[in-house]
Amino acid sequence: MNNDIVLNILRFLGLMALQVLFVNNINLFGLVTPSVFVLFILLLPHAIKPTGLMLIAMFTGFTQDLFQGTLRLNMFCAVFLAFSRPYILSIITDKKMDDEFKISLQEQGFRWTVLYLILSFFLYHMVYFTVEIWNFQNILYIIFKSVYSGLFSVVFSLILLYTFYKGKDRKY
Amino acid sequence: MNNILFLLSKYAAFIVLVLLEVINLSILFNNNEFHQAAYINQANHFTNSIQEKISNTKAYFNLTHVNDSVTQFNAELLKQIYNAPKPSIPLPHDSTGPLASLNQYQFIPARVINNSTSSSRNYIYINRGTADGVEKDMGVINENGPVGVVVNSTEHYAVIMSFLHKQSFISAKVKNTNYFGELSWDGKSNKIADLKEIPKHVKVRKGDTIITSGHSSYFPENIDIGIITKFVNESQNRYAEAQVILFNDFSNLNYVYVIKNAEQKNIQALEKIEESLNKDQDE
Repeated sequence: MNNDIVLNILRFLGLMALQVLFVNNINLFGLVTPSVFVLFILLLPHAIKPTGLMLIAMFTGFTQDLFQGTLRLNMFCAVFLAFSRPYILSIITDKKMDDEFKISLQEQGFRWTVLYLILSFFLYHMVYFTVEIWNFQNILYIIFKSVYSGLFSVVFSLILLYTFYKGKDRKY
Repeated sequence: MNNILFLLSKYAAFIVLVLLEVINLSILFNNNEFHQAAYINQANHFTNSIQEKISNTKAYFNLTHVNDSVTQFNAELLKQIYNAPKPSIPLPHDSTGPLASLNQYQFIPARVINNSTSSSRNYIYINRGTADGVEKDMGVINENGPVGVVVNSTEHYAVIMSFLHKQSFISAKVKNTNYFGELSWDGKSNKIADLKEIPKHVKVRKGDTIITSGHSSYFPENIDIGIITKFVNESQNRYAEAQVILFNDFSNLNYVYVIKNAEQKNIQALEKIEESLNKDQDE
């Protein structure tokens, strides 16, 4: 458990640094900035209670808002994602989710991870752009932007996950 | 009693969600107005110093591009200096009265340390603040045209509301005419803006250049903004609309100039009087 806390704090700092120092400066075609820091919320241990998860997510979003100069937008979306995380997990998992259940690429395999990332990131960006643009005549534009940003976030996250992949045999 | 506690614990997550999101949303929507935006975008010293270090690093990769544009800008200025008519009357040292307007505008150079274009409410952060004379409500330009308006400044940093912001407006006119309209951004492509409220009888064509009108205290007159690419003339509206391609590349801003307008206070005082007069009329 102690080990978990240290690991997550390190992951938080690492992902924040990556997002602020590198990803925020990519600005692909003036349209997309992938939100890789969300991966931190997605990878938090399964054992954390929903309320705690939301509070952690709120802090994460707030930190990112400070750097991006957005008005509490990331905070809103992060809390929403944290709330929906248990539901996303229960949709995509066939196995029983007991205390042994671990959210990781090693344990759950490639297909599960990709599905998890796609659903979560699409939800995140969908909420983000809906609140940001706040105009339902632009619904197609919102979907277009969400799919586009979500796609880049998923690819980026997968690259990260495989970079820190710890041995054993891979399950596909 | 037990039932209530049971219900509360069962829906605890949902209740917390609603609480947190209501707090977030109220902050989000209360701060969308032009001036309140300044409050939330306080030029935060900690994050800005980090952003400045990042932009220091990024600046190296842009040096060639920056040099090119500076040289071009210098050439343009040289042209203006040597082609300007010589003043026939020597200027008095004590420049009061109408001649004071000769030095009406001063320019404070600044470097962009953080800039976004992908949002529908974009802000630009620069590395000059009140210590350098940058204050709220000053216009900001670069060599390609208007950039935005300062909404807040601390000692060493300032926040600019980019033209690429839903609530940004520039008073603009078609070059060589005196008809003006309002230039705004629709929140999509960072190259395209809409010129609204052009009177219908004005002959505007594709390819006409749009310049600032000088009707606001933010920007001086005759700064090039963009070129008209499309003209919408719907018969039921009183005014026509045009689509404008901007000269400025907002995704690649390096150096900007903050405009210090000596007459700004006077103009704003007059605007305030006008506003209150309008209010009286309404009542």
